[in-house]
Amino acid sequence: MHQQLLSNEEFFQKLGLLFATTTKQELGSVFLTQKRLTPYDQNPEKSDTKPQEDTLADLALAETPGPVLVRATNGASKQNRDTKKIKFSTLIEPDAVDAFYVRYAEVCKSGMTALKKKNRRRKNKKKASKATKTEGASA
Amino acid sequence: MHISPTPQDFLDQSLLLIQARPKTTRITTTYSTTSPSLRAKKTALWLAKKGKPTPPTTTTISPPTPTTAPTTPQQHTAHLTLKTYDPVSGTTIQFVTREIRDVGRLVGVLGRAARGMGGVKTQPDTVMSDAPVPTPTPTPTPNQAVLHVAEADVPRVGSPAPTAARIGTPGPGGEKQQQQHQQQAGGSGGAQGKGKKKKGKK
Repeated sequence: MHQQLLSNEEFFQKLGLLFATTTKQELGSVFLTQKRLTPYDQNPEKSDTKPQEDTLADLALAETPGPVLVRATNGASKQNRDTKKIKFSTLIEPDAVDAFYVRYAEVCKSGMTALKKKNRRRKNKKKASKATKTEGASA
Repeated sequence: MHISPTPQDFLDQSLLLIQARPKTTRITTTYSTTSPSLRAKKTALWLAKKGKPTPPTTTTISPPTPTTAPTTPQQHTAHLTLKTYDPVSGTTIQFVTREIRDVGRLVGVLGRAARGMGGVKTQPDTVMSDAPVPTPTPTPTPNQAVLHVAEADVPRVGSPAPTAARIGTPGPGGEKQQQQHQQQAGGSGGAQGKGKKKKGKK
């Protein structure tokens, strides 16, 4: 299955939808992976035989700007595919990293609604302690 | 596997790994949710496995429960896991959270990591660029040295006041004033304290 390489804006739209559908499900996940885009290595075993050269090449790579690949999927496996597998990706150009992550933070914050809200537990604790205090006073 | 206690620790460790292996290191963010019904099923299964009786759904109403029960409606629970993984060395750094307040910070961390991955150089600190560059002073000849001493005696207009002048400005009178202020403050505090004591006696 080829993964869809989308523009940044399309990626955010799809990601928002993916978050919304996942939160409605009984059990759902969203996997987001980011890595540097490197040309496909056809013989990984060959390169493993020369570890010293590899590390040096890696260090040189760290200095040269290149695009970062971001993948998103719902992780639906072939064996247990009740839901359709969703898989898409986008490329972040080096000069657009900051703008991308500002938008990314917005989408994630609005999408991850099932996470714990701020101070919910603390408020409950306060209420509980107040209730016990008042009971103690009345008794 | 290193499990980071804070997002900052996760960022520091991840940046080190990215620096070492920028080609292969990847960061996976997993957001997984569970519905309350599934959670109930799972706990029931777990209890059955342990051989414990399942808790009855209708219990005798105890005083504190009715106040807390309506405030916590049954919602999906979720957790967010960030994993930095390098398949070549097998290094893994992990951070797990359940709170939404961490999301903004964590996306910031991801952005910072993406800069490392993409080889985007971080902007140099503005403070450093604005700082005046110290001009190299030539080694003074004996005559120039005398001149330097003479200049040093004359107070410069633009330069900040020397330490001796700073100490001298408040003067002995100023110190006294400060002491008086302190005494006044202490007196007022004492008066308040007395007032409180009276209240306590009543």
